[in-house]
Amino acid sequence: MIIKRGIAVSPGVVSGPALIIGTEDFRIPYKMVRADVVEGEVEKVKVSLAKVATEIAESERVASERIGKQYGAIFGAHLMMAQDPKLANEIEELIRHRRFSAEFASSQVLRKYAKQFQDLGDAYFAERATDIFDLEKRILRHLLGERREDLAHLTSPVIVLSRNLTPSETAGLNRKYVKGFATEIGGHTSHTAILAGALSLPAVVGLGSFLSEVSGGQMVILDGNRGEIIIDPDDETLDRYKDSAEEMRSVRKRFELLRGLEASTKDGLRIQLQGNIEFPEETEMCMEHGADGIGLYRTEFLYLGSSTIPSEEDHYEAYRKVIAAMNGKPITIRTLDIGADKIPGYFSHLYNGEANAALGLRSIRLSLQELTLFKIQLRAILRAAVGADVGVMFPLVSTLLEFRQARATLLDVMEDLEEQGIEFNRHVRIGMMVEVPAAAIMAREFAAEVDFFSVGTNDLIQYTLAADRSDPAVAKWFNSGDPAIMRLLKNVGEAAVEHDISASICGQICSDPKFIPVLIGLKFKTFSVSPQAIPEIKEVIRSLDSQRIEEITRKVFTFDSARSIETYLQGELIKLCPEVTR
Amino acid sequence: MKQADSSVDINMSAPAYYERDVMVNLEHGLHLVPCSKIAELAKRYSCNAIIIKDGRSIDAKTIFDLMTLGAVKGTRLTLHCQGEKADELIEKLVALFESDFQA
Repeated sequence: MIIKRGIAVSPGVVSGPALIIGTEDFRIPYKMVRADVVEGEVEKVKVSLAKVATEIAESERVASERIGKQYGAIFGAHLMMAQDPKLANEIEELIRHRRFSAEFASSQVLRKYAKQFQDLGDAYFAERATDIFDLEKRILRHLLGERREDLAHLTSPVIVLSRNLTPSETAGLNRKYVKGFATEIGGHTSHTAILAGALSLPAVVGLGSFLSEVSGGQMVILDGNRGEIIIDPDDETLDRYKDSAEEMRSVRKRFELLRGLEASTKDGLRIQLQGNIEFPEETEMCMEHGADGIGLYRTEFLYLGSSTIPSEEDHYEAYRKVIAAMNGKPITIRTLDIGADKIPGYFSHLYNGEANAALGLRSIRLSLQELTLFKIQLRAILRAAVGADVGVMFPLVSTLLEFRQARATLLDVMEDLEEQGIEFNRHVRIGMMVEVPAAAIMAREFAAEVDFFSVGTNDLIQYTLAADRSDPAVAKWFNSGDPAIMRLLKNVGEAAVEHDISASICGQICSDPKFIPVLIGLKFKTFSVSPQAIPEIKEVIRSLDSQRIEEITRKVFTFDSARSIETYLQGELIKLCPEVTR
Repeated sequence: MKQADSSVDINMSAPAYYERDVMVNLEHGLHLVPCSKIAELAKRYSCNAIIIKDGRSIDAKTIFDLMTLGAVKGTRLTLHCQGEKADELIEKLVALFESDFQA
């Protein structure tokens, strides 16, 4: 039995056989080789290409026999690529002249072609880059001697173990068979973690290197509450987990009683407790937990789920589904927030792999550059919002000009719809995410122009403390309770009060019960949390009163470190709500 | 008639030199599978086979180059074949285009 500890990102305890996804993540590092092994590297490539060709020929035969000749022809084309002397020659040249390793040279040549296809400007050709990546995977599998089991062909329940999962891989997990997942890297608020929470899929990330200690098919317990995985558990452990499953069920029962109750403090301050969602299906859980609306509707799934650009109708249908399910409650839709760790293929030409994605062309910056795409989304939102209380929220706004430009685009779209005689809602609320420190600092100026603020604490913390949220090496700097963050939040909350606009928080910080008193003290009256956190947060709100809130908030501002603030808040939480412990 | 890229050596004095214009009629353009059919056919011949699009010429025997043409529906291409049995190859290539790659 081996126990590994990581970061708990999505609660729940599950057990089952391990499915290991190969540790190579196909981002082959730059590697040079010594002159005396050059011949060996060249030979390795030739052998691998020959093996790949045999493998593809087999795929072609099987596909032609089982599903038809036209499908076999696709592999026929892959075979032509593998056998194209130009491919072998170019790889060989990189090895001989630039001393690249076999795998780096192969990857470089294939990615060069993939990029060329993507740059052709035709969606159908761009998609062929996928064929190149397929070939790349096959070649690398031989060169690196590893095997990537295929997630697409599951037939029985498994626990997925992997070095890393991309957000789109996570979104694509077959929820019927994948009971949970654990990864070696990743942090608290990586998009993969957020997605796991959204999908109610128990998950542990940031476990550090452990894949070498487990083999496929081995029994694994994944404890998403404590952030542990137990490989090959003994009988005693298995029994213990059966008991704790019982306990979890009784906590759930208590939460169910809260469903019909309001999220108000003891002295009647009403807090809007809303849900963060990504997929229309998640509205069900929000309603089940008595959410006051949707405070953050992420729309990236529309872009990440397919390899083609989503149409206005794709957007419209998804939004209508959520609006209908929420039955008149307010819904805040965030426009495209792509960049950093989530880039669909058809945007990849805008990014070069070396740049710092977090500080690059993402979110509203991308939307304002790709106006045609942006307008498709805005049209769909405006049309879907008919008869509903809908807010449009622009992510990652850093300057006033940028907000004005985004709003002007929205007004343009309204005018177009008006001219075309298409029905839409002209009274949608227009707001912004506060997640760039510049925006938090300029909160007063922004507050004069926007209808609402929603603070995205995950990015705000990452940018303020200059700590990548998914990098375990710097994770200790990424603290929600940092005094700098408290001060920025104070500025935003006060600005909202002065201009009488609504201020909400939709970052992970408000899913953490210990922060609730101070966040209310900083004048935030709307929290948007992962749907499963709603009952717990509601319980904390209901245990508070204005005096306690004020005391706690004042005290927080006397501390000068994240550690002392978080320790203090944790202590207060235990006094307030002993049942809610984390 | 478009001129071949100067980087491609076409000896005009050689006897077996053939040139034909073709049109891409495929819905998705000259994508992976048709490209593989062209390369597969061309590789069976020892003669040179070159395809020219907008002055850029590529070797018809390599699927990677064919793909990078990005020849969408309605693109006009010029085929050049030179060498042994070049006449036979060019006829077969033209037939491939004219049958929309069903041949």
